[in-house]
Amino acid sequence: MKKKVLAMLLAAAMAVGLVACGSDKKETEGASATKAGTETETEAGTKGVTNQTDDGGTKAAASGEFDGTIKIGCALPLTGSVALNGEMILQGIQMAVDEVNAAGGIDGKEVVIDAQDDQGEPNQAANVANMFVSDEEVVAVIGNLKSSCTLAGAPIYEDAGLVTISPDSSSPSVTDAGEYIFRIKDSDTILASQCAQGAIDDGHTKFAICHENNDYGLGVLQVATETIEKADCEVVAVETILTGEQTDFSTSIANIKASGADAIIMGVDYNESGLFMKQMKDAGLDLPRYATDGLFTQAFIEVGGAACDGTTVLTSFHETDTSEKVQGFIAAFKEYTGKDENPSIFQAEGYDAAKIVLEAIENAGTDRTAIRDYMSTMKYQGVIGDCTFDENGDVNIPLMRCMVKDGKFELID
Amino acid sequence: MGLPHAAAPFMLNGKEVYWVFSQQLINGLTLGTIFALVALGYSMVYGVLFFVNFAHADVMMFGAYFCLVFLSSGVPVVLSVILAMVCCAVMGAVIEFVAYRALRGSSRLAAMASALGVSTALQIAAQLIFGSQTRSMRGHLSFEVKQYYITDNAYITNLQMLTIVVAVCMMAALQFYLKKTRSGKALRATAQDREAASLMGINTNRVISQTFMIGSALAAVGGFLVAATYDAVYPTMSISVGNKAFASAILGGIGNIPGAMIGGVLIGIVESLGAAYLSSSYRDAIAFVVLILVLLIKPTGIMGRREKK
Repeated sequence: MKKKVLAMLLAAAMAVGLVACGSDKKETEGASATKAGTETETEAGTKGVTNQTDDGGTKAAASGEFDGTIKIGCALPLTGSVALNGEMILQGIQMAVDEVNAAGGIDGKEVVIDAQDDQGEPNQAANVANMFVSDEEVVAVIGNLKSSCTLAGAPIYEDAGLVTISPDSSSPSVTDAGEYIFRIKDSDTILASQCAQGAIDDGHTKFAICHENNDYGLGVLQVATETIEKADCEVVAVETILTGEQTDFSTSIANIKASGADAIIMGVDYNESGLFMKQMKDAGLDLPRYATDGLFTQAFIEVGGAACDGTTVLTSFHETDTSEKVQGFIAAFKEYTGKDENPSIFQAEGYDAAKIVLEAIENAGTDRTAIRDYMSTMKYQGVIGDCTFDENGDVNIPLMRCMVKDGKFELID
Repeated sequence: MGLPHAAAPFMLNGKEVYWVFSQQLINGLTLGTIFALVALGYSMVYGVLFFVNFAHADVMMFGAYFCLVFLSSGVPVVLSVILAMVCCAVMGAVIEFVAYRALRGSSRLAAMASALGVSTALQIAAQLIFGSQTRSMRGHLSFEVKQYYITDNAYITNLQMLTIVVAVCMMAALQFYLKKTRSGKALRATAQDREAASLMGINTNRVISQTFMIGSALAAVGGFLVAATYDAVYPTMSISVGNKAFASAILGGIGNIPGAMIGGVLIGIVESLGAAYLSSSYRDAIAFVVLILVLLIKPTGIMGRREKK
């Protein structure tokens, strides 16, 4: 009897609990509605882009304007943690391809994109690479975004003699990845040394370096240290940040404070960097911070808020750049999308990568090797700067510096 | 590469810097009290049921989100935290009822596997409901962080003081509840011997539910403090705190409440000093090496009792 009463009571408590839970969730949903809204929008936007490929294809075929197709593979993360960036790159590529097709295609043939999702995972990038090399219609590939993915696909493309051009991989290892592997992104070696050089030019002499405990962070540490020591300046503190596992940086901040550093070089992911900035502010430590292009993202400011002000970062593309090339691209992009939204660096990189491949096809035809040979000698002035390849398929794009002011990146020189 | 690295206490990069030691001690103490608060939940459940509730740190994460939701809809701070505690308590009871009660008779491993499942489910649920981006907590608090200097350079912030005071108060309240109240005594009796307690007329199922509710409510406070300290709320925030809190519970002697507090503070301080004077890249390793050393000498932890069965 007692047990029954108790069971009923428990059940009642559970029901109340469930109801309470339910109402919580509703409230939270309401609170996150704005964010969710933007996410769906971007998703829809990209879907639009992918659909355009199909629509364009069917339209052209139906009207019989084109005499065959030329297929370009795109290996980009379209799902996963960096999907948003991958989608923006794809949008830039699509824009360049649509421009060419609107002008009659190449040799009367329509250029089509075969976009495959590498999920930002190296093993998936290798699968996509195998697919592209065995598809004889694919004449060149644009991708991948992440360095780890580019490096995973590189040996496959290299063996098959299929050219790939990465819009955004900055790992120094990509330099030696092969003769068919190109990129239009400065190597971290260049980025880190310019970042440190900029800080030295600003008159700083004692540096603290914060770095992630991975290839990227250790690369920044090594190159920045060399640059600083070459300029007869001093590295007074080195702090390791454990990305993804660490939220408390008070120890490192106290060490930096004690070291007497007058500037900090950050080789750390945007999320941890943002948290680091906040805790620096809490600790009352106000030092200028310098980073490569890794922190040139709005996400960094979203995490760090007002504490990000005074951080100097590098970039090869900025919307307030007054050069004709950049402003022309922004205007064309707005017309293309029909929205009053500025493109980001990712759309610019996608656009330039596609332009390079398209120009190579126009001049060298559709032979995979001929395209590679043409690209290795071509000179291309892109939206993001001078994309002339050296013997390793690397570029040396001049970088601009911007500083975070009132939550926005502003060009400073 | 002639990289500089930290040396003996009071020496940093070859310079004598005395204040850093006290600064790192303060940082470690703050970190440790948060670990301790979360460790209590692990310890209480283990004390009663002899299994590790891996979902506990994720309840803490939800606690932070609940606070954020209430704060952003205009509820005052203290009330928001109390409401979040209630929500988490309910959540804890529901988790116990849904995921663990049915497995009570079977092996402890089955319950632990279930706990791992709940942990993953909660993290994914948070990602789906709230999104995976990092959110700010202090934006809703109108709280200005100030530094109070103890020596020329070493300081304690008002937020650190608040964190320590709140955490200590919660722990004191828990001690009072366990020692002085009837249901607290019932909880301790159940922890000592569930079967005997139930023969003495204690409703052990209710006591177990209570244990989960209290642990989860404390986790909500922990979640709030973590979120306010780092001004960040995100679905995987449970990882960095949860692992250390779990280690704290084991270090102090799992199942032992004062032990969890001592363990938490110890891990926090060891981690801070280790990262300052040995190497920041081995901060986790240093904390866990200390854990292993203590367990080698005293396998049940600092204050641990002998395990039954």
